[in-house]
Amino acid sequence: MAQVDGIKSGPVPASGSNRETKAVTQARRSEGVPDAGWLEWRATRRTCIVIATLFFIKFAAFSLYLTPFWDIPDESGHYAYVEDLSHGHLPVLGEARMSQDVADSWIGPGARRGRNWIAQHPPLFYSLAAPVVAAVRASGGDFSAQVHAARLVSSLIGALAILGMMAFLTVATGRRLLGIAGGVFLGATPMFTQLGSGVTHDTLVACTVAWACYWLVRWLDSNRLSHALWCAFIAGLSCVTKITALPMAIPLFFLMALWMLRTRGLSTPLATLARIGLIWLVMFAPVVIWGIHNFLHFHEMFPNAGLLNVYPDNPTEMGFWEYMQKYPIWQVVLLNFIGLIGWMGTVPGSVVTVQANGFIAQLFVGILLFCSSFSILHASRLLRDDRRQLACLAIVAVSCIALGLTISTYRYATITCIAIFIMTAWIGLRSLPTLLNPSARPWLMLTGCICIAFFTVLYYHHIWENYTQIGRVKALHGRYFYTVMPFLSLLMLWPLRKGLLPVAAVAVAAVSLFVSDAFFLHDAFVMYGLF
Amino acid sequence: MPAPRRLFLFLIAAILALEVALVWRPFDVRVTTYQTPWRSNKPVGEIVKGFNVTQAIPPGLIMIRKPGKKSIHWRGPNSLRSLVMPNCFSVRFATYMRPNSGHILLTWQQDAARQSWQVPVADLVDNAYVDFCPIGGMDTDKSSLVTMQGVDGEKGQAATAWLTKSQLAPATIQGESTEDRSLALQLVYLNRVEPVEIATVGRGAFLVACLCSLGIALVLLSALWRQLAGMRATGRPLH
Repeated sequence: MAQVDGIKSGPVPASGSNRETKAVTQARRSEGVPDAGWLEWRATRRTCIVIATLFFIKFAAFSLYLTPFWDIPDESGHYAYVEDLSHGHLPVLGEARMSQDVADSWIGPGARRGRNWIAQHPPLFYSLAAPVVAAVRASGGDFSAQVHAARLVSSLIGALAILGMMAFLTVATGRRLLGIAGGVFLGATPMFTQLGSGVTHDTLVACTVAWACYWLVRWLDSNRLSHALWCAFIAGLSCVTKITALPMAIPLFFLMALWMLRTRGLSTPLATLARIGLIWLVMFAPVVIWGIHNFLHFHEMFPNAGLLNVYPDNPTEMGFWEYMQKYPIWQVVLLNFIGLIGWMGTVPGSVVTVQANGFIAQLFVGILLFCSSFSILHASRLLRDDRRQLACLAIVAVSCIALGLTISTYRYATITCIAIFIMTAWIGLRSLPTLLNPSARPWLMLTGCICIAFFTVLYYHHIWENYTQIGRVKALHGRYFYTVMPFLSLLMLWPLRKGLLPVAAVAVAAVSLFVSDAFFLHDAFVMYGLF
Repeated sequence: MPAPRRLFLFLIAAILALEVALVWRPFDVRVTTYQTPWRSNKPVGEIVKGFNVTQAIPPGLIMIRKPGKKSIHWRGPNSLRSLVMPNCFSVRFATYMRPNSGHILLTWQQDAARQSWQVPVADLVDNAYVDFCPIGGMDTDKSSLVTMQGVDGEKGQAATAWLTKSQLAPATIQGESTEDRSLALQLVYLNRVEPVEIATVGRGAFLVACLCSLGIALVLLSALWRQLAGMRATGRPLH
């Protein structure tokens, strides 16, 4: 049985009988080893629900009174989609136009009703928000009340995303404090607070992915088909929230299938294949239906807003690797993940944004650099005894602080991005033996690394290809990485399970919350003209 | 009081102190709405006793183009912005990188409004802008005039101000026009934000958000405390 730092967790052989599986799971639970994480989660979920509720109130306060209308990226398009659905129409890319109310509020009175580029997206988030908007309209709410209602749906989903993140990390690491710290840290990033306060589907992506990962780890521990189906179902919902979830779902499916084949125990190959087929169906049927719907309209499975020809063609020569050398792609993605606040809410028709800068950027980048560097050392098996661990911890912490104080934010971000890449690749490589000798945690790590790598390569290929076509650097949004954020968080938090490190993680998460509030106050609210 | 309880109370106090230190301190909002370009710069000369520089500030100085014409990347407090109207102007002084002494008298005039400031030269930082905020604000639709005079500066111990090539009206030094150079200056919006204003921003919504952050921090603390208490009770390390 493979072992990851003291946590033994081998597969439970699947058998035809559900009772047998339950019995084995029960036996393993009684050993207290594989389901330690689940017990931790059960013991702490009330605390997590309280935290998620407080986050919801915070997001709601931002959405109702602080974040100007249309200040979330593409918010006018997202809201117009919700509005169309609330009237019973599914908007079609290239045909759908914003309502006059949206155009007037977004650009100014009498503005032309532009086409809605957001109609490219699958409809899940909008289907959830549309009934709420319709109910507010039916009860006499004006345009502003309807937008606020749609925003509150996003706030609620944002809080559920944080809850999901805490659940996943607690179960996966077996440490409740680490789980809570991870969730709070995500919620503390100004970008997440901003998205939680506006009409956007990004919070739903984060939410569905986090809960899919939660069921994934539950399934790896129990090997119960129902857990796998929950994981597949929620990952499937993620794909019909935003297509960016697909590059995460595809490798996830293959690794789930491989795990089933490797741990099938007494099951016949046919029964295992039937289970794999069922998982495929649950995970991909919704997105396939969406793809067919698109194909009937556009002869393309997943068309994007490029169909609208907003940006004229401007073929530009640029090598695949050259692109990231010429432009600070990853640095910008990282800083935008922390916070790129604003869109068109401040000056109608103009994009006005403020990126994480100064202390907040140094702090958040420093935390990510610390975690990823420590994770690399941990994966290198350099931290076997407590003394070495303490020494490495001190060296990494001092180095991160020294770098943060002496080099520019962009260089700091560059080093951090490199550390994250190395961490993913290195942990992935170290987890490869689990393919031969399946074990739950190494398999989870391997799944995470492969999902992150696959998503990252596809994302980069997409933005590079886009550049070669239109000659513009676009779509450097860190929020796209919410799709693989649970896995990234796990890789970074895994080495912090020992001793008082979870306590330190919780303290850092609490500080991040206050720093985030200060960033809004000193930068975003000044940009909004609130002072 | 038992030691653990004291520690718990200390941690709560630390959280509150951190919140106050990071969020609830008064702070200055400083937004640059106009800035002369920084090119072909040269100093006006030592502002010694009797030295005189005059600069007219024309009306309507706004650097941002019309909405919809340009993406604006807001880079924090030093950004250019069209939404706030400047209430101060700033002059870029230089010290020749030496300690100086004496005073400079700076006078601002717009229509009948007039205000003067005595600038202690010893306090000036090399190449830094110094803000001057007329009481009652500035009307950016009208031109104004800035005059600098040396009060008691002596040669070798006096500061200077920068001239730069810009589209502004040329500065006049000792009664002679510089023809193509103006004083290096900024128009800025400066506002001191007090805690009361922070508490009422967004109808108190930010206060609610901060209370939520505080609540989350306290919940984290209590979770931590319970875990540590369990650890003490069982005598087992955290893990």
